[in-house]
Amino acid sequence: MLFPTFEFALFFSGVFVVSWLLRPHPQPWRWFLLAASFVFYGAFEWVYCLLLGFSILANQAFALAIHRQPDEARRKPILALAVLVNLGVLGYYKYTDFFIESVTGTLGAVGIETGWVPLQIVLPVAISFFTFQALSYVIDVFRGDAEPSPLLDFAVYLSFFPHLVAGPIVRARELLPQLRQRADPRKVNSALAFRLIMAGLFKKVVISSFVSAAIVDDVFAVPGQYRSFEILIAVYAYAVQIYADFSGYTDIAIGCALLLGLRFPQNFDAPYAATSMQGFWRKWHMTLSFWLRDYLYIPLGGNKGGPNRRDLNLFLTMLIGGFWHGAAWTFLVWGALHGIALGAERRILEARAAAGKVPGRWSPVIRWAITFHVVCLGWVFFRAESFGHAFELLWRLVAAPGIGSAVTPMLLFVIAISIASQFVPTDWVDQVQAAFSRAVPALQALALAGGLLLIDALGPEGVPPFIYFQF
Amino acid sequence: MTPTPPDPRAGRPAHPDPHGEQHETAPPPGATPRPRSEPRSLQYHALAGSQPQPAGRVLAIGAIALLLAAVLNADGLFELANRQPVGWKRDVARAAVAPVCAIGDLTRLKDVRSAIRDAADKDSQDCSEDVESGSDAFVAPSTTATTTTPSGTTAPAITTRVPTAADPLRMWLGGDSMTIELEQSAAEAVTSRPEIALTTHAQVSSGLTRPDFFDWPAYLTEEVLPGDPEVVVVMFGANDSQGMEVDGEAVQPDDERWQAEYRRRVGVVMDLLKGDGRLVVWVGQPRMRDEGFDARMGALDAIYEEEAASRPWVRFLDSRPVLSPDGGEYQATAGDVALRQGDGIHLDRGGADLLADAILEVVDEVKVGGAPPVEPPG
Repeated sequence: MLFPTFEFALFFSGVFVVSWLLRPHPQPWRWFLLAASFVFYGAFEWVYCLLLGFSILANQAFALAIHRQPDEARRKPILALAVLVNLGVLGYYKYTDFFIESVTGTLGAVGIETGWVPLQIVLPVAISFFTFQALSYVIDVFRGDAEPSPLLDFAVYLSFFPHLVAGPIVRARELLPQLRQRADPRKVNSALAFRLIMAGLFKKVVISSFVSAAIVDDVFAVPGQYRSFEILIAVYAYAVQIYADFSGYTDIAIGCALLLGLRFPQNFDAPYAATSMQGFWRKWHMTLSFWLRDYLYIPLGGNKGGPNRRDLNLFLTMLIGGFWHGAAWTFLVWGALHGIALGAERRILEARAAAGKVPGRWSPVIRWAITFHVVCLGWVFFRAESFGHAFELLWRLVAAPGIGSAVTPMLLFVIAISIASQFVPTDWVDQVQAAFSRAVPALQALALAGGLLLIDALGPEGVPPFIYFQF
Repeated sequence: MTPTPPDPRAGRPAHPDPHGEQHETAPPPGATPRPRSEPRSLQYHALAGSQPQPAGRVLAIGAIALLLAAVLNADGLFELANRQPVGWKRDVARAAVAPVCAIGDLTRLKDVRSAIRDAADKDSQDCSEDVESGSDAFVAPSTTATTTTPSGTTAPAITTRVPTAADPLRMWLGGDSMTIELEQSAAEAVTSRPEIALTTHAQVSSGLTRPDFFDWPAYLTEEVLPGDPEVVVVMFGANDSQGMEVDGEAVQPDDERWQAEYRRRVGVVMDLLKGDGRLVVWVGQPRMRDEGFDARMGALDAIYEEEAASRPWVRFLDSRPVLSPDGGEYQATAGDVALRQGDGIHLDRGGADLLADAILEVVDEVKVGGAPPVEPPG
């Protein structure tokens, strides 16, 4: 059950009503949220529910075992086991086939036949996200930053359907206290919720679908057929697409949680307005950035140990973060590229500061342009089916001059508007939001219906999923 | 109150994040230090002075908005309802949309969507016009002067010629989502062959059982045949093993009436595509990972092969040996080449490359090679 579907609208309407009716009764309300989340997850594939159930029980057991163990020296092995089990399950589903293919490919190149065959493992949806969330819970308990919660609370936290499939990565310490609070049913922050849901739907259904169908899919599939200008625009279009798709999805998630009286942290903050690589990562998939900082970069040693060690930690963090996105060498390169860019940027800025250089008038513009294009270069590897495709695309960018015919004025307009939207001051949007919240209910409903009309009318020809029968 | 000694940490940067940001300084003297892994820089969307509302009012606003949006988007909902598999679910969905459509029609509210879609150059169905999916809905459009050739009579042979870059061979390839990767592989394969001009169209979820969703005979007649392609390559079937309307009744693929109707439809498309020396390559379905699905695809393959055998302008290309090179069973990979996607159905790029090559081989042999057309094994 994905967000922009009719089924989800029906499902969520029901959950909204029952959740607020049960809100005065803490236990039934928790059980209801848990059941609703499992129904939501089971709609993808009921077998996945067993995996989620296992993750809940195992991680709660680890957290309790760590908490009850007063001896620091004995807590570490439990934590190590917890990390191993979580990453082991994730690794099995996500990386086994990649490992087999890489090994057979490498050995095959030198003439050694392993006879290994990829197992065609299907990656369960949401596993990457709930694994990271579960790890944050166990590590927080280990560090003494949090107490283990009751099992039911932890189960609700880990399975809560708005963040389950694609984030944001909500920490246990952010959501669990909210489960214990009594939300006031007279005070639902609906204006922000509706704004996020509407904007998210528009980004995901209209913008993302349009640019992918207009140019991205074709150019990335057969780069050899396109000229440099078409390729350049396709790369920009993909930058727009991935932002619209991903931020749109998490906006809807945050909005849905808000309607149920629970606040999630922001996940995107106009990332393409960033004027530095580090600024970009503080605006792009923020909940992952901070997760990587707190549970990977700092344990690696963070900034301690001199500039070289610091840059190495940074590089490793981005490399692993890249690999988390998907089991392919292209994702590793994407992560490495960001790791190198962040390190290089830091060095350059330090050197300029040491030399006493003052930023000039055009400095923000130049820095923005460099940042945006480095990010776009990364996206080429992120999106490309293979290295071959990525390099062919980049090669044709310089070696196949020409305008081609794939770029339409409408496409350029959509890309330009999407990037320009990143520079709209949030005050403006906030003012509209506040005005909306004060409007009479009928006017609010009319505005929302108008938004839904626009989204449906401008959306793609509704493509149903491939129809499988009697499997 | 006694002054506290200055905190040595005050004013010093807190732990920076991996991107080198110093988010804030350490807490002022006297404040309780925050835990080490407190998410220091998590942002929350600003409520920005918005007034919260009671849940009941939010529900009313949401419900009115959804109902109003349903009326405004009646045509879209109707399309969605029609896409359901033939059977009770589809009937219920269509019955549920009917009143919404009536209100949209009466109030003219649903015209707004059509206007927007027209302006954006998008197709839209009108929910007040019912769509047919039965036998009557699957016929060759009368605009074409196709003549069905009874089997065994003298049909025009496939004419051959040697195309050049200046006068390339006009080739069209299309079908359902199985052809998405295939069209990309074919496009890549002909980048080095300027003597072939390829156009393609993959229509996701389409096939021959549901003309109400996508009407292939109409599409081929209006969009493909006017370009007078010398070679037409089609691949259908992956979505076709589902309920079909026959004489106003929903019948399933294991029913003889279903098979007879499907066979008729395959014939309609083959006859429609017959042209002045044109070659039609009908690509069969490969092995599928799921046994039941594989068996159903096998039944369709048999129909394609039999119908192609009685029409000299059609070549049936069995994709099973191509995509199961190691002996006929379902095969996901060949060496380190991925043939099929993780769903056990769709082609991966490696598999699509192989199939594209096999198609071009048939084209070269039958259409370009100048060899006399070989009678297909019957």
